[in-house]
Formats: sequence, C-alpha cells, structure tokens
Amino acid sequence: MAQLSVFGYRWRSTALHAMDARIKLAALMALSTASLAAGITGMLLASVLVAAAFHQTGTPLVRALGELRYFLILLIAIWMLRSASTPGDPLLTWQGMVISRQGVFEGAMLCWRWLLIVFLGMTVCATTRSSGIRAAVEWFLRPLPGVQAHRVGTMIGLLLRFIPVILTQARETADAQRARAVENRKNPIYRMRSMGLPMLRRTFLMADRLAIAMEARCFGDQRTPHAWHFQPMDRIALVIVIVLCVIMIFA
Amino acid sequence: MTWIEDSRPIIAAERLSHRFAPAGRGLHDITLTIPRGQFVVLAGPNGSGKSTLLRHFNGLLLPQVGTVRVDGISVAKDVARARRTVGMVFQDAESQIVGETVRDDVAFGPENLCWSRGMVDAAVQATMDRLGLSHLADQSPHLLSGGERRRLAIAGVLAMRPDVLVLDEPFANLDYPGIREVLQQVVALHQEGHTIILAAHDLEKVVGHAQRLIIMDKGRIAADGPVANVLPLVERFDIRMPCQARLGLPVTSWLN
Ligand SMILES: Nc1ncnc2c1ncn2[C@@H]1O[C@H](COP(=O)(O)OP(=O)(O)O)[C@@H](O)[C@H]1O
Ligand SMILES: [Mg+2]
Repeated sequence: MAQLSVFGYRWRSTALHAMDARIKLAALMALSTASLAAGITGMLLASVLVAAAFHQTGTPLVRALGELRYFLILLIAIWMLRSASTPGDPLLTWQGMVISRQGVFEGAMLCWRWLLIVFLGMTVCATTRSSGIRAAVEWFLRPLPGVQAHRVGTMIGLLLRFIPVILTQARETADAQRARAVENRKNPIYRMRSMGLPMLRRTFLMADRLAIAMEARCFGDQRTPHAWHFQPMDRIALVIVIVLCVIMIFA
Repeated sequence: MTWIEDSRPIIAAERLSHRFAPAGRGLHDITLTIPRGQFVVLAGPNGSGKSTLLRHFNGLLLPQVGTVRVDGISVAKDVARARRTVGMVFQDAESQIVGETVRDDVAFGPENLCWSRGMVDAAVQATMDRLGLSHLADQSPHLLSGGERRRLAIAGVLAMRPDVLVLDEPFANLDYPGIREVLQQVVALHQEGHTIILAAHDLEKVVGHAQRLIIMDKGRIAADGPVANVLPLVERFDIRMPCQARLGLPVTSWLN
C-alpha cells in the first residue's frame, strides 16, 4: 500500500489550496532561486511567508521534521563541514581543526536556504493536486520549442500514478523471494539479479499493457486542455512573490 | 429507415484471419455478426484466441485477411471511430488505469476525444455516479479494492459513451463480492441497451445473463448459438460446464 506522507496532497479548504497551480509552481521556482542571493533580511521575510504557507497545510511541524530526519542529519553534517573548512576568525580550535565565525555563519545560511526550499516544496505538494502540478509544468513548457508539453505532462502523471504500483510489486517480489530463503545467499550480485529481473519483467509487461490500454482510450496529440481558474487572489499572490523576490535579491 | 439502421449488426467480422509469427497461432477464418444490444459470452481455454479476436473489434489489431466492420464501417478504414464505438476493458485492471485519482482516470478518455471541459466534467460525474464511484473521486486508484478497481476500469471506458462494451476476463482475480459488484454493473449496462461482449473461461458466473455463447478453440469458432444450445457442448472444448447445466437445470444468476 502506498504510504501517506507529508509530501502527499491532502484536501483542505484554504486559500493556498484554491490557488492556481501555476502561481504556486512559479513561486517555488522564483523563491528558490532568489534565496541563493538573499541576505538575512530577505531570508527572514521569505521564512515568515513560507511558515505561514506551511501552516495552511495543517501538517504538524514535528511530523514534517520527523519525515525529514535524514535530510536534517545531512544538513547538520554540511553545516559542521562548512564551519570547519571555511577560513576566517577562529571561534574554536580543537586538535588543529579551526571552527571559524564566517564558517558557522555561511554554513547556517546554506542550511537555512535548503530548509526554506524543502518546506516550500513540501507546502506546494501538500496543497496542489498532482493533476494541477502536471498541468502547470505543461503550461510552462508549452512556449519552449521542440518540447511536446502534453507528452511530458502525461509522463509526469503516469510516473506519479505508477510509483506506488511499482513499489508494491517490488515488495511482493522481495517477500516471495524471502519466502524461498533468498537471505541465505550472501552474494549481493546474485540477490540483485534475482530481484531485478522479475521486477524488470513485470514493469515492462505493465508498460506494454498500459500503452495498449491508452491507445484503446484514444490517446493522441490533441486533448481537452486543463481548466485554469485564475482569480484576483492569484494575482495578489503573484505580486507578493515578485516583490519578495526583488527584496531578497537586492536588499 | 430506422428499421434498417437497427438491423445493421454493430459488429461484423468476415473471414477474419490473423496469425502471429512464428508459431502461426492466432485467428483463422472467423465469420461472425453481433446484433446491437446482444449479450455475448466468448468462451474458450487459455490461448484459444479470445483476446486476439476482441482486439480486432476496436482496431488494436487489424486483420491480415478479411474485414471487421463496426456499425457498418471497416475498422481498418476508421480506427478512431471503432475505438469510440467499442469500449474495451482489459483483463489486468491495474495496468489500464492511467489517472492519479479516480476522477482523473475517468476523465482521460473524454479528454482524449477533445470534448469541451464542461462536457468532460458532466460525463465524468455521470459515469462515477452510475458506477457508484463518486465517493472515491479523489482517491488514488492504487488504494481501491479489486471490485472498485474493475469498476473504475469500466467507468474509464464508459465515460466515452461507447455502444459496445468489450470485457476481457473481467472476473479474473476478483473475490465473490467483487464479482457480484462487476456482474451487477454489466447486467445493468446491458439492460440500458449496451451491446456486451464478455470473454471468460469460467462460464458459471455469467452465462445465466447472456443470450448467446460463442466457443473458441485454437483460433476458430467451434460453436455459436443461444446459451441453452451451446452449453451442452462446452466440455468437449476444455471448458468447465456449470454444475446446474450438468444436472440439466437452467443456470441461475449469481446475483440472487
Ligand atoms: N502479440 C502476440 N505475439 C505472438 N503471439 C501472440 C500474441 N498475442 C497472442 N498470441 C498467441 O495467440 C494465441 C491466442 O492468444 P489470446 O488471444 O491471448 O488467447 P486467450 O485470450 O483466449 O487466452 C496464443 O497462442 C498466444 O500465444
Ligand atoms: Mg486473453
């Protein structure tokens, strides 16, 4: 079974859920980029906004942090490395290692940016139907020459649809092999092969059936376009994001 | 004039052959007409060519020899029309569901037909109501029960408003409630005027509702006629005869 995660969409009645997916995706891209250039003021402003947005998802902060635990460990490791490897005024010296004030600051900023981007992404995922995300990606790709936007959109949709199916099948295959004592085999290559081949076979078979079923349902180059509902709220949100990005980059 | 319209068979295959290299298995010289509104069961052991025949009805396969006409027009000449007229539900429900949610999946076919957004939404809602899926509209298909998933597969096809519903082994891998759920829908769709063509190797579940039974064997039609006439022959072709038929009783419905 597909596990519910904090990244998954959950319906609630908030302004953020109702917002046009294109605005949310654009905000994610713009704020992520702007955060690379932002100083403390800009980051503080952006963090307030992201915190408010995250609050609307209704996800308890503790749960989100719990789900991100490995990522947080990685961030702490990056921070420590950064602190120890950046030259500057020594804060602490221990066995030849120098922790510099600049290093601590820069590391903290780096981790802050990552955290901001991740929470923003999490908020967008939790408040936007995957069909909306897909349609927004399609919409942004449409002006690009040589990109078949609706095919990319369909691929994203199929990916989202079939990830849980493939994961479930992988678990079934693994269980079936454990039932036949595959654990007694120590050779990892043997185990990878005995796991990988049936999985590949099933996946290809499924892809084949899927392609036939899509053909039977008249899949082609022309489709009914996604219905966008661009509302005054969306315009306001867009302006807020643009202003914020300008402040982040130039302040 | 309408009389002529109605008497035109919805599906007609004439001397249809299709061989798969290298073994040469497939279909051999099939001639068959199915009138509008009939409930046909296509029976036969595995590998007898049921799925191959069904795939000719909506142009997923085209005849190597002979013709298949859907509503009077050759499938090879207008594949798109055949696909709109003949909706196909495949054996493996999981791999034919495309949408990330139930609603998205039902909308997939109508969107491919480029209906206006309003028409798509209306068709999706009506179809979900019709098949009792409305309360699951925003569910992921992966989380549905077997019966629900099969009903979704039917809904995805039905939303395109086909005249004919082709079901390839729709009861495979279903539990008893799942079978009843699906059978109920199929029977109701037949009563509403859809032509139903259903492939099965186990007759017991479905034959009580069908009007006609066609038996396939090694790529040929081995017997064809009203259920009561054909049923006594089935064991000759490695198909299990329903218990009641064996006792000389009429086969009753699984729905009672
Ligand atoms: N794409 C294909 N390529 C080669 N042989 C095929 C293909 N599809 C079906 N066959 C063969 O055609 C025969 C009929 O298959 P099928 O129509 O799937 O039977 P059924 O649905 O009655 O079980 C089988 O012997 C099968 O191996
Ligand atoms: Mg088959």
